[in-house]
Amino acid sequence: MEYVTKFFGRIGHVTLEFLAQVGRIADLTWQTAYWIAVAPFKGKGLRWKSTVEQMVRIGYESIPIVCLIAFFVGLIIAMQSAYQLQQFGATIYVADMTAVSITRELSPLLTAIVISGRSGSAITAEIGTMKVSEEIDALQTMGINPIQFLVVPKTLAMLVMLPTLTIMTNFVGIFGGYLISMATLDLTSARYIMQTMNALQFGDLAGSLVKSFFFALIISKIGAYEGFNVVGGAEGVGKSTTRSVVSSIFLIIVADVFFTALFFSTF
Amino acid sequence: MAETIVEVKDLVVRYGTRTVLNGVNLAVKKGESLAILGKSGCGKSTLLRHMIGLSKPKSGQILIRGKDISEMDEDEKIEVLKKMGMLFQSAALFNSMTIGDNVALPLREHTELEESTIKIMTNMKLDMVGLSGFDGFRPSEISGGMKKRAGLARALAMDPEILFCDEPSAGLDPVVAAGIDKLILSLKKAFKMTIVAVTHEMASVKIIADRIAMMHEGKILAIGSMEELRGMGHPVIEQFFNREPDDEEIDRQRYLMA
Repeated sequence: MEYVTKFFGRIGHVTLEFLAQVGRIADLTWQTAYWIAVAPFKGKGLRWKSTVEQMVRIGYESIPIVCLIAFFVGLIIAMQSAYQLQQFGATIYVADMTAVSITRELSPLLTAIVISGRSGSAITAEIGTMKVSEEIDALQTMGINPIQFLVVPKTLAMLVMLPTLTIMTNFVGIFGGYLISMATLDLTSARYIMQTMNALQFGDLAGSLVKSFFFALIISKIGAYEGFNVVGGAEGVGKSTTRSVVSSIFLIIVADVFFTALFFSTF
Repeated sequence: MAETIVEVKDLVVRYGTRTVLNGVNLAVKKGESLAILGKSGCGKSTLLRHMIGLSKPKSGQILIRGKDISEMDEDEKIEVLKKMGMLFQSAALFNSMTIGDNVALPLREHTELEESTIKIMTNMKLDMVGLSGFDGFRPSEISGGMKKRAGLARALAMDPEILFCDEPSAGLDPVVAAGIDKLILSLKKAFKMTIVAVTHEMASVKIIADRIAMMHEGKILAIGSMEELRGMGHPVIEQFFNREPDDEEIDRQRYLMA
């Protein structure tokens, strides 16, 4: 009986803790939304200089790595598709396969995962280190809201740059598929491009951008939340950073399932 | 009689089952310098965090000029905080900014001053704490004592009425520590600031404090001048003033020596 009580007690404790965390993340998101959408109309402007700096860090500096990954993924998808489709003499559909899978799924997902590892972890580490060294307390004692000062520029930059990078990786991924097809398949450039354009619909690109917008929200919110919740010193920063990346990637994939079901399900 | 500028009423703070502050009552008069003294872990820093609004009391009140800080809206609280300066134990300088930008930050956030004016004011504050010429340095490029001075310059940026200091001379060598203490005292005299300093360093207390609030086990044990506290003959105060170790500590040392 004691074990049963302990078991259900543990489940209850974990559930309550999970719900409390969801509540705190929702509160952080709400406060960020207030500082972005409401506060500027009350004379509390956005920190544009800091936002642009974050855009450079999150977006511009990530271009080489996300493009390289997208290029290789494009190559892989094209090679895998060609391998299967040539059995049916349908290699022209490599263009469709590459374009659709890159645009709908792989580009937003992989870009978000790379940015989560690169910039989400940096957000947690920066805010966490500031918390450990009392810099967050210092901001508060100066009457400066840490969410306005730290979270809003990072969130805005993420919301702008992740969809931008996703558009970029869409093109690079498709270009990777195009290159390998031109090199290995008996297809003309014009035919491949025409086939790609016919395969893609506006909804594919729109879905890709909607996904990346929500992925950006997940990365910035989880990154900031874990940063503010650092406990202890350097070890605590390390633990929170790991938790931030793992939670972000998990939630990105869960959100991807949701959006794929919403936009592309057959049921 | 001087006006009460900060008042703590029946403050109780608990972390889980542990009571850290157990009904603290304290009044800080305008223009005085009050040292909050006590052993490590007696609740001094927790009391200070509540006084500057970093933590919200679950029971009791913190009144700034008669108004409860936890009931203020965001704008009211900012106005109150603008008149307060805080020197942190670790200085808490922003490592991503230069010393100059650290000091300029409150001015940039809370005033409409031109950048050239902010630069002049920043240099004035740095000069005041003996750091003129260091505005372009990063916190990682200066010593611990200089960081404290820079933290003090930042705390003074908005010309506060009240300066809160958490262990102002902790971790510094006696010469640098005395320099920081004397600097705080001279600023208090020059600008008629109210000072609240949390410390366990008797040398600092002698230099800075007009009055001492002696804390013990989450309560204010006694308040008064150093002479008044000495005259009370309370064993805890005597032990603290005479730097005598606890009985448990003596037993532990005997055990180690045996």
